Amino acid sequence: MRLAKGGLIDRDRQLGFRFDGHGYTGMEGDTLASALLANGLRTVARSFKYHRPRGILTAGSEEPNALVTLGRGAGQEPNARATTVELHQGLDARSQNAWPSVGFDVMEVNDWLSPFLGAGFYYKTFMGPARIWERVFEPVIRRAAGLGQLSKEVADLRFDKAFAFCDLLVIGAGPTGLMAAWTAAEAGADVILADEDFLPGGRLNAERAGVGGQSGAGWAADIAARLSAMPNVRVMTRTTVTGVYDQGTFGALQRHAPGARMQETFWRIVAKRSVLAAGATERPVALANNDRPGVMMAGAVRSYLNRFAVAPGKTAVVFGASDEVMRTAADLRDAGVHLAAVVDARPVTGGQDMPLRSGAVVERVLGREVEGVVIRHADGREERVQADLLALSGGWNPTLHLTCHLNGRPVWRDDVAAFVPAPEAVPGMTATGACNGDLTTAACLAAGRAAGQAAAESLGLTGALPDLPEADGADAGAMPLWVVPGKGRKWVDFQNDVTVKDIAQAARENFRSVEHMKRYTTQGMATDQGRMGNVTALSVLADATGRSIPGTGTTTFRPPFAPIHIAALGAGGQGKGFAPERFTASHAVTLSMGAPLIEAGLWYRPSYYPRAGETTWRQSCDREVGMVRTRVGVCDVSTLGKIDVQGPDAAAFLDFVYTNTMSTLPVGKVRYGLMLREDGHVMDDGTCARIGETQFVVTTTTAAAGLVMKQMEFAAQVLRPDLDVRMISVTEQWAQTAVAGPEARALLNEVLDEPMADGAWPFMSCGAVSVGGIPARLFRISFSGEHAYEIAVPARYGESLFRQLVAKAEARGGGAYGMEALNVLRVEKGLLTHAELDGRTTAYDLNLQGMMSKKKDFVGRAAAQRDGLLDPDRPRLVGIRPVGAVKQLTAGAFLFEPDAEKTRPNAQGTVSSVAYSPTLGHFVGLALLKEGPERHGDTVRMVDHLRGIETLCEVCDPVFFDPEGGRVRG
Amino acid sequence: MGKLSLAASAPLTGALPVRNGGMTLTLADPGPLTSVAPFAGQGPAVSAALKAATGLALPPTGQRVVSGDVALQWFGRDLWLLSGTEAPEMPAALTDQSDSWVALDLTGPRAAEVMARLVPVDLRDAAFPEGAAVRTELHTMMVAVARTGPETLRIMGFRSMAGTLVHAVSEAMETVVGM
Repeated sequence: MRLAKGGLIDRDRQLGFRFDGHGYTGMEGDTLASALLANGLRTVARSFKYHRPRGILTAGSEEPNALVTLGRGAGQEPNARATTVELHQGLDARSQNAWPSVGFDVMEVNDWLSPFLGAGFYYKTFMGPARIWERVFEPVIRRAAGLGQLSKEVADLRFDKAFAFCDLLVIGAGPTGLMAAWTAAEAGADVILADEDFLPGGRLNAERAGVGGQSGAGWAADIAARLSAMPNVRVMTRTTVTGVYDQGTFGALQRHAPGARMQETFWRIVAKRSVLAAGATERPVALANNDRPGVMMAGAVRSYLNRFAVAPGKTAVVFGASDEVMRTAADLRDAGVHLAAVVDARPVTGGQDMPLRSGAVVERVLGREVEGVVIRHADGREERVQADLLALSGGWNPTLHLTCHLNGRPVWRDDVAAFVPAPEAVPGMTATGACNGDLTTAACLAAGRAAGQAAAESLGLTGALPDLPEADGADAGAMPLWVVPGKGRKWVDFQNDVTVKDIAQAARENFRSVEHMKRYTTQGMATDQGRMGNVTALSVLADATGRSIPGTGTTTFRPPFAPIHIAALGAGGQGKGFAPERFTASHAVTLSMGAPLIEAGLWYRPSYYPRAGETTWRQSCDREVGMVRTRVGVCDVSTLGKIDVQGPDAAAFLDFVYTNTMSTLPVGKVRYGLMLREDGHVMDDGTCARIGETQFVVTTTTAAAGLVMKQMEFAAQVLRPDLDVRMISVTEQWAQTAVAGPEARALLNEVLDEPMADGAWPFMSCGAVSVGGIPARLFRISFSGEHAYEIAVPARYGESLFRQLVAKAEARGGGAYGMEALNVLRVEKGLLTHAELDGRTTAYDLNLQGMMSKKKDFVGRAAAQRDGLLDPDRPRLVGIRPVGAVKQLTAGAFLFEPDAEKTRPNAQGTVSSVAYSPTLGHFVGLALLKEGPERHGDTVRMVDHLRGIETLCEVCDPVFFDPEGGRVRG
Repeated sequence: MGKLSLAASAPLTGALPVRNGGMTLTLADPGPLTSVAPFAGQGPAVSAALKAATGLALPPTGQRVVSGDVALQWFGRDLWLLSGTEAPEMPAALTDQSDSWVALDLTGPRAAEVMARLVPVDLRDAAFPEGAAVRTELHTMMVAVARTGPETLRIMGFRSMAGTLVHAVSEAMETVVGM
């Protein structure tokens, strides 16, 4: 019910919203929770396991009960905590985990069955075979127990990511954080002040006690405004610091104001120092039926009264064991709420105008929604009072979660009956204020100022210290209060439905370690990581096992502090953001010719260039292969990696990174080269062209360009720093086009400014040429087995050159060819790609052991000598061709002896590449076959179990076409 | 002039300039680019040669120096990028990079705010003043970022990925403007 006055809400701005299909009105400054309470709603959710009706327990991000689904359709958001949802016009929220409605949920049958559904129920009951577990039990349980659901549709929600840097990150903008940020900022530090609320101030906004002669909220607003106006301060509201990482890095999730283009931004903040001022979380008292709607934390009651001007009930009972009981009672009374009983477990006096029950406890809550409570007096007398609100205070747990993220273990402090952060748990971080056990406003203000000052000084900064405002410093005199004796189920973990009984049972069944108890009962394993219940659970376990709380231990906390959308972590990765698109210089020509694109790493390359009348890719591909074999073809090969290697020791360096020798290569010549990984397996192959005495151009495959560059850098920096060599990628600099076929030379002579002289430019030569007055590089190399060249021009001319080469090739009956034809041409010649260099093959496997120089050391040499890598039984490269009735070969198929059973242990090898050879009129394949080179002429059976294809093959030399190599040299 | 006439193509950036919220993203023309990697122990000699030829000595790590149209930018380990002029002869590995990179200028009061959504670099004025330069990662691409004016950041990325780079920066501009 909304109070007539007060609160930090804007009564002039009414906001219409919907909950479970009904229309309601709230006000600017409300959360969904405060607006629901203002409208008199009490049951807003159902619990996870027992489907018990649940209300709003807290006023913060620790809320375990009031989880709702926001929005509808693709972008609906499940499991939003109503206590953190900022109310806005048109908000559409609904309850979840209930059917048909939150008021009447058929799954509440689980609650009646609860005697059978305690801890360990699933483990003991569903012992059947794994198959039944997966098909029967798990789907049933998942349907019954659960939270909200995603739409499973693609949502048009925007998330983004950002980076920030500062001297000091202050986490929490309550009295401690405001003071810390202010002090450090006055000293000149660059400060980021982050708070998960949309309104800075923390508990100051929730209490009536004044600060510095004004209201706490007023003081907080003034300081926050002052900080916002300082150029060296960034105040980030709606920002939850979710994780602590190495080197002063923090993850932080910023929710944007309702209506913003972005939903959320995930920040990575790097701070030299940090102050944790996250405050404390009030803990409930375990008493029977303490989960009923109408039970609320006392601090939350004060938040709703003072900040939101909402009375969460009409008749209240307050229960606790500290002076906060009286403070809560006074706030309720002054707001006009009838007080049925004020129950303090301590023997106290005073409160003459209050219905005080000193030294008594609330033993039990009555009603499905709170209708009353049973009070047990110190003398054993039972008293029943009617009420619709129970305000509960079991003490405060410092919100120390972030100090555990780098493996810090909290330490127990008897004087505050709570765990506090271990000092220096996070390098550079000071945990201070309430999250360090200081539970008065005055202590928090002082601690914040001290922490801000210390942080500034450690950064070498000093400045005027802000005056400490006057504030309440009276200790609440809290007495530990964990569990109220008596019958009935007493909730410890509200979100996962774990009760005192479950924890006691875990202990009885010898799950006495806190980690075992946690897993057996699921205590603390809900999305809130047990923020409210873990310490209480420890106290119960300690009691059940006869140990002290610190002797029982503590579980730890991991990031994220509060749930994060996976979409926020993956921000920017949707659609085009998934990966960069890399286009060759000739991309526009390729598109204009209608070529379908195929992805090669990040590159987009043409598959084939369809022509009129061609209806299948094979028709185009066969034609393109034929063009290259009989006329001339043109192909953009710019995607291959190119590395410029220079230096007095460049040749020696290349001898070290290649298995074969490059130092003997004359200027103007190209050599095929092989590189191994350090483990002796083949990493990549390519060509190495010596274009000057101390300058080489190394080419790599498209796939391994980055790997090769990395390995060469590693070799230069770490393995051979003695060599004077420099290298840089020139992949982007040069657009390179292959011109292949019997008419390649004639075609190039049409475009080169100086035609090639007869006899000049033999196979594997290279040098500088000029095209259209532009300096270019020409390499006589071939990946097709034909007389071929690759011509490189600066990338800006690549499109123009490609276009004109294609036109001239077409005039000769040739034309452009794509990746499909390129693959056929190379398989016909037994040339290798990463289908063969698959990371598992050695030079020996590929019949390239002759390229492993015995005269020098090179990367991978020693490892390649290992026995297992020279085993003749290893699968080694061969060619295969079909000789049976079925004429098709498929890549990935297995090879068997013709009569062997077609099972995996009998496999003799695998097929790595296949192609239909229009040149030879049949399929050709490359395979890795045990003792392969010794088996040429044998027959093997190819079996593709997946596609259901079998054929007999003849093992042969991998070079199918022109084995003598006359064409490439012609 | 030879038999062919080769036309230069622009990198596939998509439409430029992009204007949004008082910011502009434009294609810059830094002129010829040459990477300069001094051979072992030749740093001082290379610096002297550059100083004589261009008036600019090799700047320290993380910096960029300018003289007229000529700039010399730290570009990595033992590596600098000379732009705006041809490199003189010197004891260094010199490699033409003119066609390897696209250079974009992001100008406006919120340029650093935009880049903060893209690169894990401290771009605050004190940490990244005019003349500061880094190599970093943007959207999984290798880039170089330098502050070339009080409100101008130059972003250099690979030519083949120019479209993605422009798209990413434009999106970040839209995000910041929409905040």
